[in-house]
Amino acid sequence: VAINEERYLLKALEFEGALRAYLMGCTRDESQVEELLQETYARVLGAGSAPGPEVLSVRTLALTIARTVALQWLRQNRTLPIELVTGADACDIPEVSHLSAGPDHEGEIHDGERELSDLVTAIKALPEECRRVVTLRKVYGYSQQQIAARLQIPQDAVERHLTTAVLRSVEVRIGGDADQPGGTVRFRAFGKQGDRAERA
Amino acid sequence: VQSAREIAAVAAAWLIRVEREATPELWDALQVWIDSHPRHRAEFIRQRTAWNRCDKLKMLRPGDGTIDADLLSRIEFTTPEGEGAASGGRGRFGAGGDLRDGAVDLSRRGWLALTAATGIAILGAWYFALQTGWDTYRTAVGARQLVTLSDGSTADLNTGTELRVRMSPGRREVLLEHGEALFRVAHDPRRPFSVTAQSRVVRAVGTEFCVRIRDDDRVEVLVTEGRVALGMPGGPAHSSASAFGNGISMGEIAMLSDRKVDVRHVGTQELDRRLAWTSGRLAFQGETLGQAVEEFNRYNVRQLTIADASIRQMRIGGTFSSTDPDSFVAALEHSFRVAAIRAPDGRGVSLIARHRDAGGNEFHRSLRPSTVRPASPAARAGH
Repeated sequence: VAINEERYLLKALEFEGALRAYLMGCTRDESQVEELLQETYARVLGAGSAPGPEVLSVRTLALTIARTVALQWLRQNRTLPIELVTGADACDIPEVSHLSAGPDHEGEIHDGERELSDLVTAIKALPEECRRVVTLRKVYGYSQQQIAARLQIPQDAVERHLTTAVLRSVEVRIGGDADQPGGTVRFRAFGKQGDRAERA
Repeated sequence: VQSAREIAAVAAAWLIRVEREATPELWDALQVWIDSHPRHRAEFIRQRTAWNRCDKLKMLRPGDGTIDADLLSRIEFTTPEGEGAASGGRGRFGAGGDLRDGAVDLSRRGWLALTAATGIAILGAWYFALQTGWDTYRTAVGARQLVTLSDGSTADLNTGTELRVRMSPGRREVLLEHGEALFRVAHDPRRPFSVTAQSRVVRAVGTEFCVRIRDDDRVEVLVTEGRVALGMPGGPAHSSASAFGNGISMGEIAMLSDRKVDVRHVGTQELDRRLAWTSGRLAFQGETLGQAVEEFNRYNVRQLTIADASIRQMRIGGTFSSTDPDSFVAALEHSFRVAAIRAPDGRGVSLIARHRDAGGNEFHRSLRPSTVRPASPAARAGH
């Protein structure tokens, strides 16, 4: 029923640990992992607006897309003959079925306090002024203007600190992202696009 | 070509920029950036998600109203032995020195108790006199405005909203005439903050809540943080407490009609959906087409109508820009058996069911040969 285009991406973000681990198996270059991850997310997002059956396991979808992205990158950058790249033995891009491509967690169990402590730990690691700005913003709900007034720093500085904090917050993993062994690639159709309205 | 890290930095800067001031021009510019590459959009969503997750830190706010920018550096998370097993592995945190209770259970209940302990929200008869000294704020259909009040509180005005504000030494009063607004109340226990809508009062000391006057004059109150009290102004003294109970807390929504109040809990996802308008979006999940159309019509002069009862109850989902009904209509035409007929003067769009005959050809019921009737101007314009 849902035509929320962001739904696959929002789900896939919960599996960032698994995606990252997979991509690390493709290249050791960390900045390259960032590239591949961002491209993977962009395509997962695109899958959310493409017509077709609803994907049962977003985890598997995201890993499959990550593999495709990694393969394409390999083709473009290592100038290997395509036959070699697509042959199973010739490349170091692992098959998804060997990975933790199981179904999405049912009714995801969130360790809320673990997440909270991770967030606090991340913020404590920020430089002092940045930490104070984030605390006022996120713990006390101050506006940027109010923060600038209270700490007596220019509003541009507040903006800069918050931007730093946003980038840091992305690195805090969402809880319960452990790899699960086994599992196979599974897609299941919930019926054709046009039927959805009637089924609802 | 920009690197992933560069895109990430730009996305983060945008996120903070629109948090600071969200003018329509800025939103348009952001939209242009987001649309210019699929990676931009994905990265923005990723960062928005991570940043919103940090809102959980509000749970650490001490209940006594003190502000401490160094609070987090004094918090240590610990998992006492034995305790962990008994409470299902739940950790506890203790704060060095400042939090008087020492270790505070971080469960939701514990936190609410903490809030309640500050003695927020006492109900009483509330007489509302119309006097001078009111500031008026208004938004047009489709517009949104974030107003910062003189006490540091903010009011985020949704489409077609009018509210009046009066600040005095002993109280902070807001009169919501019509529409919807999200209030972020600056903490001040000596000056209660009250919002009156359709003769109902929402009172708070320092919380965050949304008040909406619906078309049928019912008032909807959604609390996104803390706790508020609900009551009636000038009613029989003290009767409001028994009529409305003690108020509602974070994650609860109250629907107030004549002397009746329905309270229910809303999940995080519904909460996000209900507040999607604060970022110019409308989000649906399982609402009927009728409800969705009603929502869109709040934001647009160009009105959508459902000309076919058979599709009114259809359930839909998705996120849309509130001022872009065309994308919504396009999505309907794409994913459902719905066709749109656009009025020649460009002022309205009718939605009808699309049917299929035995040969698999699609046709609109209103144009079926056997039911030919004098074609309306709207139908002619569509075809």
